[in-house]
Formats: sequence, C-alpha cells, structure tokens
Amino acid sequence: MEQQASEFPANVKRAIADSQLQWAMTETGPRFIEKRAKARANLPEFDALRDQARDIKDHVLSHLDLYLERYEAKVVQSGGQVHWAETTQEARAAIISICKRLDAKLATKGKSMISEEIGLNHALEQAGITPVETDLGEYLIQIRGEAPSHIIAPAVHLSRDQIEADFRKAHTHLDPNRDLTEIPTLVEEARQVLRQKYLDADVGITGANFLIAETGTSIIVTNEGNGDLTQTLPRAHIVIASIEKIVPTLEDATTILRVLARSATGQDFANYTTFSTGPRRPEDPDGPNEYHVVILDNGRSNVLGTEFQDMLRCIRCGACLNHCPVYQAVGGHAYGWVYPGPIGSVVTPALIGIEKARHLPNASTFCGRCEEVCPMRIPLPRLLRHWREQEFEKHLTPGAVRWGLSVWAFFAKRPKLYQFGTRIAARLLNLMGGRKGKLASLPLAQGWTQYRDMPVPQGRTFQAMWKERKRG
Amino acid sequence: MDSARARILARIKRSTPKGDEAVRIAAVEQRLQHPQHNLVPERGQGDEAHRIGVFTRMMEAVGGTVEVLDDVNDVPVAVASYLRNTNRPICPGIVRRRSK
Ligand code: SF4
Repeated sequence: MEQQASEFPANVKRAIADSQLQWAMTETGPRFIEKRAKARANLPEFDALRDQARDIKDHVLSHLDLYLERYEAKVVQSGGQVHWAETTQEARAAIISICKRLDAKLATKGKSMISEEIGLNHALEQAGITPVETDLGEYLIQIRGEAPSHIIAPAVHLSRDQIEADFRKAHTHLDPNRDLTEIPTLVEEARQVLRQKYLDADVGITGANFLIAETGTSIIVTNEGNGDLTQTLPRAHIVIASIEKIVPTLEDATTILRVLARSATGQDFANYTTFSTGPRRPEDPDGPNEYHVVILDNGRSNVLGTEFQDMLRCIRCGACLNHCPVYQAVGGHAYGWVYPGPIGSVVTPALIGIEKARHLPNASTFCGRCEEVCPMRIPLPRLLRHWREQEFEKHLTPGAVRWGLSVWAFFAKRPKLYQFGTRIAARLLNLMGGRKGKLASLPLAQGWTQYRDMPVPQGRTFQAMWKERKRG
Repeated sequence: MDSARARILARIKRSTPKGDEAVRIAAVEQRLQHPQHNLVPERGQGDEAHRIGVFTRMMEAVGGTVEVLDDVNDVPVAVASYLRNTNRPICPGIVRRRSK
C-alpha cells in the first residue's frame, strides 16, 4: 500500500471538508464508546483482567525468542510449516511461492492488518492470483480500491448509499433493477457473491489475533464467520502474523480475549473465535491439506528493548481510535497508511520511519483517553511524546516551531520571569477582549481563532491563586 | 528464509533483558508445563445453580427465554407449548411437505 503519512496535513484538510465522511464519523463514533462503556460496567473484573493481559504480554516480550521457537516447534509437530520473513517483501514472496507451488488462481482472505501492511493483494494480483476479501468491510474497500479506515471496521467511513452504488458497479451480473435499499439485502448480496468464491478458492489467507506457543495454534476472531470458511475450505490455509502475536498458553489467550471484544465492539465475546492447529488430520471431516504460518518482523524486533516496546502489547482492538477526538474528526485515511488513530501514530513511525511519519505523533491533543481505555494499558501519550522528542532531536521539526519552543523554554526555565510574563499577558488579553470577554482574532493563534473566538483569561493566574490558598 | 529466522531471533535475543539465560528458559518452561490459572470472572464461577442463574439473566438480556425442566423427556412438550403460546407453527417444513 502506498504510504501517504507525510501528506497528513493535506489529508486532514480534505477529510474535514468531506461532509459524507463527517456524517459517517458522527454516526458511528459515539456508538462504539457507549457499547464499550456498557461492556466494561457489566464486568466488575474488567480492570483486573486488563492488568493480567498487560502482564502476559510483558512476560512474552521479554521471552519472545523462546516462545517463538516453541511455537514453531509445535506448528511443525502438528504438520504445519513456519516461514520467517524479516521484511514485507520476504513475507509476500513466501506467500506467493506457496500459491505458485499449488498452482493457485484464487485466494480468499480473512481480515488481516498484516496483509494490508505488506501490500499482499497487489502482489497476488501481479503474480496472477486473484485475491478476494471475505470480511464484508474489507470486501467493500477492496471493490473501491481503498485502504481500511479503521482497524476493526475497515469501511466505517462509508454510507449505505455509497455501498449500494459500489455493489451495482461491481456486481454487474445481477439484475440492475434489484432492490438494495435495505442493509440486510446488501449483506445478502455480498453473501451470495462470496459463497461461490469460498468454494472455488485454492488458498485461504487469514491473519491471527494470537499465536499460542503451548499448542502451535493460531486464533482468529470475527463476527461474520467468513474467516472459518476462508481457512477450512481451500486446499491450503496460510496464516500471516507478526512476531508479537505470541501468547504462552490457551489460558493466557482466553484472558486477553475477555478484554478484546469488550474493548473493540462492546461484545462480551466476538461471534466467532476460531482455533486452528495444523492441517487436516485423517480423522477430520474437513480442513485444509496444508497449513502455513508466515511470521513477519518488519522492524518490530528493533522496537524491543527501547522506550517504544509497550506498543508491541497492542491487540488491535481499535478502542483508542474510537475514543480519540482527532481520529473522530479526520477518519482513518488521513493518517496515510495502514494503522490510523493513536496506535497508528505510534506504530507507523516505527515501521516506516519518523522521517516519513513525523506529522502523526503531533496529531494528538494528549487528552489521554486512548491510554485510559486501552485494554493492554499501553501508555500511548507517552509513546507519542517520545516520537515528538525524536522528531525534534533529528531536526525534522520546522524552524518556526523550533523557534517557538525555544522562546517558551527560555521562559519556562525562569519561573519568576514566566510568572511575571503570564500575569502581564493575561491582563493584556483581558483588556483586548473588552466587555465581550472574547477575541475574534489573535496574532500567532489564527489557527484557533479562524474557527472560534478565544475566551480571554479571567481573574488571576492559577499559580497566584495556588500560592494564596497555600498561605491561607 | 532460514537466515531470516536466525536474524530475527538474534535481534530479539539481543534486546531481551540482560541476565541469566537459564532463568529465562526456566520461566518459559514453567509457564508452558504448568499453565497458571488466570482470573475467571466471578459470574463464571460458583455452583451449578449460580451458573444457571447467570445464564438465564444473560439469555433474557438478549431477548431469549429460559425454562428449567426436571426431565429430558419433557423437552418436546415444552417446545410444543412454547410454539403454541407464541403463535408459531410447529414445523413449517413438515407442514408444507405433508400438504403436497
Ligand atoms: S493501542 Fe490499545 S486501545 Fe489501541 S488498538 Fe492497541 S490495544 Fe486497542
């Protein structure tokens, strides 16, 4: 997928002016928040489970090499094969070589962010293999030629009308006068079209929410059951997953599953949680003849042991996106690559470099809601701050911002001068605001006053009041 | 790809906390050989009566109904009376085939 993370400011302008996108974001955003809050309230142990989930992943990350080796041994023991890929190119090559050996022409796909990360669909097409996304949201964005705009709801930016128009354009073999005004009819049409693809597919490709070292099992979590048909019907099942998806045991996987769906969609559990261990055994009624796991690094091992390590605990639930005021205002495409929202702003610079993604860590108000809701207790604002530090240290920050920061730092390091300055500035702004108590325009803050008035500071400064109360 | 495996694992090893390798291996073995029980929410524990109570509450929360029967042989009568009381046909498939 083409990276456009460096285009963030321009993408944001477009997103804010896109009334259809703005409508979609206001429609769906609050629903995710309400549902998660309800699910959390219904489970008194939710926060204790978050602690355990965090501890499980921290334990894994400090023993990752050992668990990966154990996982690989277990996959091989159950008749599967493991392919290691350092880069996106190697991952694509591994998958294409399996498909070519099987003379595959059609590959069905379950939802996988890693597949987006490695640009798999394009590579398959180049190799003469037709990829068909089977998750409804992924299918929609595939026929539109778009990237996902949300980690768990890839087509969250689309309206029913847009979907109807896309289906009419893509499914030209169906009656042009059919009624597609209701959502169930759209779903039924997608089901009809996809059903035959499941049966015709030579290879099924899925992601994995977890890889279990204890048993060599991969787990997928879906709400449509499409993953199950994708991985059981074709001749080969290929799993593509990144190194940090490992958990030690089945018990550990179930603990994290307890917080995953609640954080993502507000469900107690997703509709389908499917465990795959190796290919079909002689006594199995169905299943693939071959089972492959492609394990991708793509820069993640470089993050281990650094101040960014905590990002590797992420289970891609999307809660931080749903609660982020910036994501909710601009949608996922503005972030310009695969992973949007707060976690995207942390992961993208690690995977494609801060030079190309320097705007993303600045796309945060540091309100802290992302950290508050993250089931894996990832300190997202702290990680974003680390990226801002790197941006500054590498001299990627524009001159005007550096100058502004150095002026501010000059005062901030001299408390007396700072207090004096803020007192004067507050009085001055008060005078300028007059009786209205608001400013319609302010030098150096036009970005703010272009859309709203700036209320002038009221009364004395916080520090002055603090001092007074301490005395009293 | 084998060298990719070696390089990935070597990089991971380099960045893991420095210390006694035997301790790390023992920690992994311990966890895999003797999987610990993690937290199971209170509602999933307790005796059978408690669990039936939780199930009923959750089933009703999503619009379902629950009837407790003493004997498995009572199931057909209970199902038939549920269908009758809710104005549902006993089995549309069978009715259609019989009427042919
Ligand atoms: S950072 Fe946390 S909240 Fe965001 S997707 Fe990852 S696990 Fe979910």
